[in-house]
Amino acid sequence: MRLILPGEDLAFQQRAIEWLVANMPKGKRPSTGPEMREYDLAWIAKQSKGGWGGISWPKEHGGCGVSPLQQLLWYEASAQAPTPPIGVGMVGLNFGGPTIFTCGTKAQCDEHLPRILNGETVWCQGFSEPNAGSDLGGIETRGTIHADYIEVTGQKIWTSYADLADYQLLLIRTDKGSSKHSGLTMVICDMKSEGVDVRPIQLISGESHFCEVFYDSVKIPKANVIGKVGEGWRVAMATLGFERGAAFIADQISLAGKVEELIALARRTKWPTRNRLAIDDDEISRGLAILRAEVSGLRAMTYGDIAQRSAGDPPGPEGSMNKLCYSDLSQKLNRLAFRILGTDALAFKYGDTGWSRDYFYSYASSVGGGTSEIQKEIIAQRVLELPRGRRS
Amino acid sequence: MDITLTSEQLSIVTTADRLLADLFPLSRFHEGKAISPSLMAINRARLGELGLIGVCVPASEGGAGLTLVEQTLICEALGRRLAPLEIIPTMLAAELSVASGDLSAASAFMSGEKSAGILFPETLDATDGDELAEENWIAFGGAEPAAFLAMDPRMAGVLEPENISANWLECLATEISFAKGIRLQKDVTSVANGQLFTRGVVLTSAVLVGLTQAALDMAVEHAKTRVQFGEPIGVNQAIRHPCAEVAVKTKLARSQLYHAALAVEQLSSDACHLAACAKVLASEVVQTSCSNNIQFHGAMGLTDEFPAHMLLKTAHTIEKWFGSVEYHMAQIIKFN
Repeated sequence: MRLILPGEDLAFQQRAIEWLVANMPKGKRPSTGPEMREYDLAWIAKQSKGGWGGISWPKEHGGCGVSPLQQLLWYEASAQAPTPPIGVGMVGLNFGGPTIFTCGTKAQCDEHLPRILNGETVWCQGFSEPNAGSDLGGIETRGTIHADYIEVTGQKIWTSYADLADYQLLLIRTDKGSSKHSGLTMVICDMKSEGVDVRPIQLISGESHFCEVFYDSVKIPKANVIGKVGEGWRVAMATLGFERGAAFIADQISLAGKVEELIALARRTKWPTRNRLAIDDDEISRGLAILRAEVSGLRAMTYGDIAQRSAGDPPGPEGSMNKLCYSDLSQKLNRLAFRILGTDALAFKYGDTGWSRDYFYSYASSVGGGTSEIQKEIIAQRVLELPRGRRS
Repeated sequence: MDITLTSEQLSIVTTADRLLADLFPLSRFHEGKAISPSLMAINRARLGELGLIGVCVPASEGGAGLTLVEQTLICEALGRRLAPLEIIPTMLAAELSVASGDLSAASAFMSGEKSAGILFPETLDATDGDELAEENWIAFGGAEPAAFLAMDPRMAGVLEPENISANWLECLATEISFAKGIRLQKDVTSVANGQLFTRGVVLTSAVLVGLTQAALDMAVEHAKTRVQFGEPIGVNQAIRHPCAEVAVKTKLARSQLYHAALAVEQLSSDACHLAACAKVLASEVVQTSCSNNIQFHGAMGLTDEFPAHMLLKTAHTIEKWFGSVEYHMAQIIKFN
């Protein structure tokens, strides 16, 4: 046990804070479209040039090769700065790149990893389908194998940033008679390929970075298969492991700042009908106290998990525990903000930023990256060792 | 911070857990098996021998010379094993006696020969002065306490039991009595309690986390073994998901608890705040865990014979010690 960071980690933290404060983008981040893509990529490129690219990547693949604790310190420093979010770089840096260097070929690494790190390419992830959400084994998008290419026909959905992406991590069914987890293959799909059609979906919070992607006889070279044909499930599980791992920490950490913002809001928001400040309402102030206690607990929990994990270990069920805590907290926080704002919260239209937008967006936190129900199943089975749940 | 337990700390947990299970079996709550005051003294002495009461008393004064973190782990085990609550004021009485130079009293407490009770002001809101309030104290005591600590967030005093004129009532948590509306004698000397109150906040949070874990373990065990409709009831999401939620909130509360213990021990400037956060998180989850446990046991959970209710009742009692949840929530919001 230790309260204060060891010297080398303290020095790392100091370097990270200094670099971030001096180098983070000053201008406002565009909330959508190609302008947002350019902004996000420029920030990634700058981090890479500054020697901070691929904070969670090993050195041999061009990353920083720092310990899990130092990754956490980096995310914490970023949230405190606060720097812009990872944005369109999310899939490439957090899941796509790691999947390629874990399961891909040397040629794939050489072609893609430097471009991801240097902020040159955007990636998206094509897993979910209309009939394969939580039950990912239900994937139906067909891949027919030819001599030197795979012909893909079908549909993906809930693909973040597909409209801005250059490449996609795409999970398809290559064995016609197969079902569930067998007969799947992971490929890299060039989003400019003929036959790929992307349609953004409008979300309740105003964003439309979720997309539907349609594939009409899209030809994907066989050299783009990650792992082997038929091994797609194993590769996808590696990807999902990264999704529930350290990368997620950045979101958690920024929550603590939001709680403080909300307390400040409650201290200055006067409720006209009751002629008093929101903070003076017992229910509001107790709600805020619980949030403060919970973000403090979440931070201690995250540090605890990190200390137990050495670099390179695959994340275990603790990722699910963290994610459940995070989504619960994020939703409670935003619901409380909505209440504090009273009727002011009603002034909202698509494209706005602020608490109302965040409130509607928080509904996504218990759905994206595996629903809360799926996380609870993982905890029930792997932590509590309860018998397998009913599937019918 | 790093809140990973060391191997020494893990072995303290195992030792305390085994001994407590042995000394204080759940069967004692059933008719005719209650522990007599003399047996309680013998059992306390066993804890004392192993240094589990004088945990934080320096080795030079006959204690174990460990830190609040180890004491926290022991109190977590007290909760998990539903051990008598009097051990907590007895631990603190040993520490306060050492601080005030009364080494023979300290030795009597840490050896388990004597036990202490504790008094809190009914409301902590008006306790900013350098004097203990005169009126409206609430007292808790186990089997024949030899002294009572009167404690508010800043000050502490020691009272002889004969100086407490009280109408003792039976408490929800067995093995403890309580009395309300107590007036302190004018001649009670009050001393600044140092960190003792904050340490008490941490230790009661530890008991709550232990109770939470005990209720979760009981519920999960039942979910695995109770068969209805041809399957263990734990296959149903209506059972397994609330268990998963409690497991997460327990981990959250425990993480905060260990962080707070470490911060209080090392005199961190935000120690009081972190301790208040630990108390709030532990109080929240213990309620859910204990209630779920009763519900998942069906009618069995409603019986006196099955110990699920004891976890809930002990939680409701210890929650009131060292400041209510509402008090700590107010402290958390005031923190800047």
